[in-house]
This record gives sequence, C-alpha cells and structure tokens, in this order.
Amino acid sequence: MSVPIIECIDLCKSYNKYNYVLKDLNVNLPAGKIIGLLGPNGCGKSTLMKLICGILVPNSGTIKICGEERSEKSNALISYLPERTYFNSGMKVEQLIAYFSDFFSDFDANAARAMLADLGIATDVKLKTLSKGTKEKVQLVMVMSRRAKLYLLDEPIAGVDPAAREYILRTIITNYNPEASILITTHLLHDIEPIIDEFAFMGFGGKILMSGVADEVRETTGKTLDELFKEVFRC
Amino acid sequence: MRIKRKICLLAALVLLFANLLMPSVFAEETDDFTKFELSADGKTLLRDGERFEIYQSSRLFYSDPRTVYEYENTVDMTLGEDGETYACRVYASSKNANVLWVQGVRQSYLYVSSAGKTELDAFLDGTSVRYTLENKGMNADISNEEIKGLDDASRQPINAIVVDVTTLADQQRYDVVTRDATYSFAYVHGAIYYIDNQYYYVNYEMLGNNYFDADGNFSYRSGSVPLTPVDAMTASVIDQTVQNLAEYDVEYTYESESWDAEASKSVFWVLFVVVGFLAPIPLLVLGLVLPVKRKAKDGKRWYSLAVLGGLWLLLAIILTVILVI
Amino acid sequence: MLKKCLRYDLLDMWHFWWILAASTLGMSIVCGLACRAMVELFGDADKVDQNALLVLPLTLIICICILGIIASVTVTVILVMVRFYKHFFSDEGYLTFTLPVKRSTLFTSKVINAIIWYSAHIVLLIISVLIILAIAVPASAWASFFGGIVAVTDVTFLSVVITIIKVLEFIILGVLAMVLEILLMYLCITIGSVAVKKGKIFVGIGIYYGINAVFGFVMQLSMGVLGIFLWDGASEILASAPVWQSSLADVLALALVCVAIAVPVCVLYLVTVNLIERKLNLN
Repeated sequence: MSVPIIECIDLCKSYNKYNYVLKDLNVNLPAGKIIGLLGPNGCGKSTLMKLICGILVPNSGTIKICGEERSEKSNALISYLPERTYFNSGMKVEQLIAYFSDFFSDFDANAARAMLADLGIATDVKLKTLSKGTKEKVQLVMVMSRRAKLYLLDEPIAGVDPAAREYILRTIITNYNPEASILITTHLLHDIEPIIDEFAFMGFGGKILMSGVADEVRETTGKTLDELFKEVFRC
Repeated sequence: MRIKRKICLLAALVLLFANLLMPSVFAEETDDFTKFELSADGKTLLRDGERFEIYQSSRLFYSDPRTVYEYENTVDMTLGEDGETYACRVYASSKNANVLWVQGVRQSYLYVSSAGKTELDAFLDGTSVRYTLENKGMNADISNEEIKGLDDASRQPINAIVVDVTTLADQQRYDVVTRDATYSFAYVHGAIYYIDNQYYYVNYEMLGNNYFDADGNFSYRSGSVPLTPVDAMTASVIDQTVQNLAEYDVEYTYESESWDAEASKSVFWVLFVVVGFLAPIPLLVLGLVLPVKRKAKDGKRWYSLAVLGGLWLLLAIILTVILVI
Repeated sequence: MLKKCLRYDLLDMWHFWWILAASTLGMSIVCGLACRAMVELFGDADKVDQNALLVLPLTLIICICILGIIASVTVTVILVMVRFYKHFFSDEGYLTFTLPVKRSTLFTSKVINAIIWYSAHIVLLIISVLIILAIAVPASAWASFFGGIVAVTDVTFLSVVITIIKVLEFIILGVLAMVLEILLMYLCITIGSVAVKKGKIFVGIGIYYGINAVFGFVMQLSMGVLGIFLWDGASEILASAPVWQSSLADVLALALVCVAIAVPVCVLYLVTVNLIERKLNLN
C-alpha cells in the first residue's frame, strides 16, 4: 500500500475560542490522483490547504506530507496556488521566472516561458501592469511549471470567465506531473467534475460528509457529483 | 477583563511617573560648601574657621600638581589692586590639605597653615625634595643621589666645558625639576643636554640672574655657560630614566562629591557581583533548559543564550582578576 | 538559501532606495550651493544690503534640503519595515512561506537586509554632509581646518593596540544597537500581525512605543544607578593602577557591555522567529 501524499491526524484549527473551522479532522489523500475537495463557502477547504502549506498553524493535530511531518522541506514537494495574487507586483514576469527557478529545483523555466507565450503574455512587463485575470494566469503558469509531488489549487477557477476556466483546467491536466497528486478546492463542481479522480465533500467544522472514487460513485448512485453535492448540501 | 485593563493602565501610569521622577531620585545631595573668609589686608584666609597665612617667597617656583581638589564655591574677595578671585584650589588627594592656592585675576596667591609652611620651607630649603627629568610634557623620577652627584661634579670647574648658549637651543634637553614631597610645586633646578652621544649637566643654582629671562627661564639669547660632562654610570641611570618618561593626567575631585573612596569601592564590588556574576545566571539557565524543553528542530538555537551567559561570566571573571591584581 | 533570500531582498529595496539616494545627494548638492551662495553673498558686510532679498529664499532652500536629508533616514526605515510587513504578513506571505526555506533563514535575511540598508544610509548621510561641506566651505578655509589637526606622536605599541580594540568594540556596539532597534521593530510588527486581526499596524506601533518606554526606563535605571556607582568605584580601584591595567579593564568593560547588548538582541531574534514559526496565521 503506497504512502498517502497527505495525512491529517486529529487536525484542529480555530480562529477564535468559540468556533472551530476544522475539528478532529482525519483524512488521508492518496498519491497520483486528482482529488476534488468540495464544499460550501466557509467550510474549511482553504483553511485545510493553508494548513498543509504551512501558512496557518494548527491548534492541535498533525499533518504528514509523504509520510513525514510537515516542515519547510515539505514546501519543496508542494506547489500551491492560492485564491489571491501573491506576487510582488513590482517584479517583471522574467524576474518571477528567475525567482521560481532559484528557489524551486523542480521548476521548468522553459515550460513556463512556453505557456506564457501561448497566452500571449510578454515576459519583460511588470506584473502590476497586467490585468487581474492575466495575473492569475501567470500565477497558474508558475505553479504548473513545477514538477511537484502535490499541487494545491485553491479555487483556481473562481471569478474567472468560462473560456479562461476551460484553459485553466486544460493547463492543469496537460502540465502537471502525472506521478503527483492534485488537490483542487472549489464550489464550482460542474466544471471540475470531468477531471477529478476522487472527491470529498467537506461540511462545516471540516467534517467529511462523503468521499470516494468519482467514477465508482457515479456508477453506484447513477448521479453526477454535482447532483450529489446539491443533495448533500441542500439548504 | 476590566480589572486587567485597570491594572495595565495603573502600571502604565506608574512607569510614566517613574520616568518623570527618575532624575530627581538620582539627584545627588550636596554637602554644605566650605566657607572662606579673607582678612581686610589679604594676609589671612579662614577655611571653615581654620587659619591660613599668605606665603610669599623670592624664589621662583611654579605649581605642577598631580591631584587637585576644587571647591565648588568661589571666594569673593578683593586683594588690593587685583580685584575678585574666582577659584580656590587645594593640591592634595583630600580636602584636608595644608596649602591653598587662590587664583586671582592677574596672579595666584598661596595660603598655608602652619604645617603647610613647614612643608614649603623644607621644599625651598632643599631638605624635602624629589627630582624629576622632564621633556615635552613627560617626566620620570630620578634619585636624589644622582642629582647630588651631578651638582657636586658641577662645582668642579676643571671638568666643565664652556659652550655658547645659542648653540644649545636646538639640542636635546631634559630639565631637572625639583619638586616637593607631594608633587605640588616645582622649580627647574638644572638641565641635562645630550650632545654628540654624551650627556652634559648644567646646574642653574650655580648661575647668576643674567642667565635667565624675566620669567625665570634659561635664556638662549647670548652668552656662554659651563656644561659638566656626565660620567658613564650616571649616564646609564639617565638613559633608564629617559626610557621611563611618561605623561600624567591631573586628577580632579570636587567639593560636591559625597562619597569617599572606600564606600564607592564597596558599592562597586556589590554591584559588580550582581551585574557580573548574578545577572548571567538566568541566561545560562534559560539557555540550557529551553533547548531541552522545546522541540528538537528549533530548540538548539536557544543555546545561544547560554553561550552569551557563559561569555558574560568569563569576561566578568577576567575583569575581576584585572581589578584585583 | 540565505544568500538567495538576501539577494532578492536587496534587489527589492534597491528599486526604491536608489531613487531616495539620488534625491538625497541632489538635495545635498543644492544645499551646498545655497550655503555657498550665502557665504559669498553675505560673508562680506558690504554686500549684505545689496543681496537682502535673497536671504529668505536661500534660507528656505537650505532648511528644506536639510529636512529632506534628515527625512530620508525615516523613509529608509519605513521602506525596510513596509517591505518586511508586505513580504511576511500580506498576500506576498503566501509565496514567502511556501518557499522551501526555513523561516529562521527568511527572517535572518530580512535582518541582514535591514542592517545593510541602514548602514548604506549612514554612508549616504556622511557623503551628503561631505558634499555640502565641499561645496559650501571655500577652499581657503580647508587649509586651516586640516592645519588644526594635531599630529599624533609619542604613542606606544600598547596604546595603539588598545585604541584599535576599543574602536572595534565601539563599532560592534553601534552595530548591535542598530540590530536591536531593527529587531524591536520587526518584533512589534510580528506581534501586531499575529496577535490581532484588525489594526495590525497601529497595534504594532503601539507595542513599539510601549516597549521603548519600558526599555527607556530600564536604561535610565541602569545608566543612572549602575553607571555612576560602577564608574566611581572602578575609578577609585584603578586610581593608582598602571596604564596597561586600566586600559585592559576599559577593554573588558566595553566587551561586557557589548555582550549585555547582545543578550536582548538574541532574545528579540529568538522570540520573533518563534512567533513566526509557531503563531503565523496568514488569512
């Protein structure tokens, strides 16, 4: 049995004394799969991703990446795309490529330049001169140009037009390391359902309400994941 | 929560007021100043009732103190034509000295107690003197026997060579200075010249007034002077003395000081033990305990506190050794 | 990794700092010229009445330039702190803390970056002052200035060695004081960022002034009580000591002061890194 790419053991996270965003979360995510982490807004999907990346510190519990406790070394294995733009906007695109090349040994600068060329984005322009959508595309290109073991994509298609959504999903599928896992969080299930291998429905407090292999569940229930989602999270 | 806020506010107010009050806490209390009174004729000075008489001498000597005690107050008095004085000094390492040096507008005046008169008389008579060699503001002690030997040799004219004084102005010279036992007063007794690898001595006591200018300094304007060659044994003593030439800094103490030396030393040692040896102990403890308590990955960096604590202790120990030897 | 982090931090600041440096040098040239104009126009009593109208504008120019040069120090400090905050606690933190670099390394890079830019600004200020003097002071006055410097003679080997050691100690003390100030500001920004959700910067500034007030109180206590009594006592003990003994005591006492200042530097560094490693919550 292969080591799960992510193991969360009794993970708890709260932002104040009264409300736990994640409470006693125990979940293992397998390697080599595209996993959709689906749930309503505020249920803790982004919080879980940030905990895995280390930009949030859990109140209690343990996170293991490839069998080892989360540390700065784990960052070399993880390629993270947050829901916001996280670059220094004073940098030029080419400087950003150099930055990623310097810090991440698995970063493929040529692949990044090729993708940017496909998108028609010049590399000698400053990031602050680009539109919001273009910045997000640059961010996606940087993330997907890495040969990481785990890709964490937090709401990659939220707030983006349908044509761009299709491009983003195509980029994800065609450029990721096939031996790696991708964890995508979104509430736009309809768009990502075709690409995900496994799924988990997360409720408030980080409870996993339903999970499984997407194809198997569709065969068993005769419903799409979108329909199942609406059933599970009916208001 | 309200109580916590009140406590924090109270603590902040206390700190603020403590800051404002700090200067006054450390303001030193001053003793009452010493009181001086001068008689109408300017010949008698009273210092807190103790009597000092003016000391006048036809001998030319100057003050060259190693320690000076300055009184905080000035002595307001008129000395005949000279107007008010503006300072009053004592040449001694403590307030209780027998000689007072009162500085006037144009000149200075000496006032001595009976004990002080005895000291100065002995100095001027030559019965209680010491000698130094001086050059460019540096001096070193030389024994009375050597100077006596040089003086005796200078009284043998057969040994002397006569030299034009104008040629001496640029030669290497060491003044032989007579000082009193307390290193307060001095006059130039003679000089040792170093010419062509040979020392020569001139005894000013043997020379007439025509050799000196109006200020009492040896004149290089014209004339000739007898120089006595110095023998080899004395020359080696002079060589050694020249090696020992060093400057000295005049030490000042002031009337406002309320500590005495022993009290300040005791306080120093108490504070030094606290600051030097007790203060680093918490550092050592924290620096050794925290790395064990914390997780291994970041615990080791807390050892740096222990390293600093150890270094602190080491420096304190070495400093103690330096101060004690 | 430290070198890489430092390189990018330095480049990041350079983009802003070179403009500041150029402005400061420009202001010092203008100030120097204005001062020189004052000297030339008003140095001679006869010329005062003829050029009276120029007094106000020249004075204004000089004041603005000097204020600008002084303000440039504040700007550098603000730039360094803003870059620290943005790089760690704003959206850029999402990239910073997902790099495969230890957080202590990231923080150390920021500290070294701040030291370099503060030192660069000190050099810039010295150059500015020299430019102003070079332009404002007529050539004839320089000769008397340098002529007044007394040549050092009659020094011993021991006094030279002691002087060099003391100068080094003072430099170390200066650097430690600079690092202490930097770490204090970083700590306050960190506390403000990890402890509160709203008003992080104001909380950080408030904590900075609070800690400074406490530090000031402690410093007054130590300087006032310890300084006076220790100094008096040491002077008495070493009153009749030979030169080498009192010189060595001076050197050791200075070294002890350096170690004493290094302790809060170390504590602030460790506490800040600890907060960043254990309490960081970017949201």
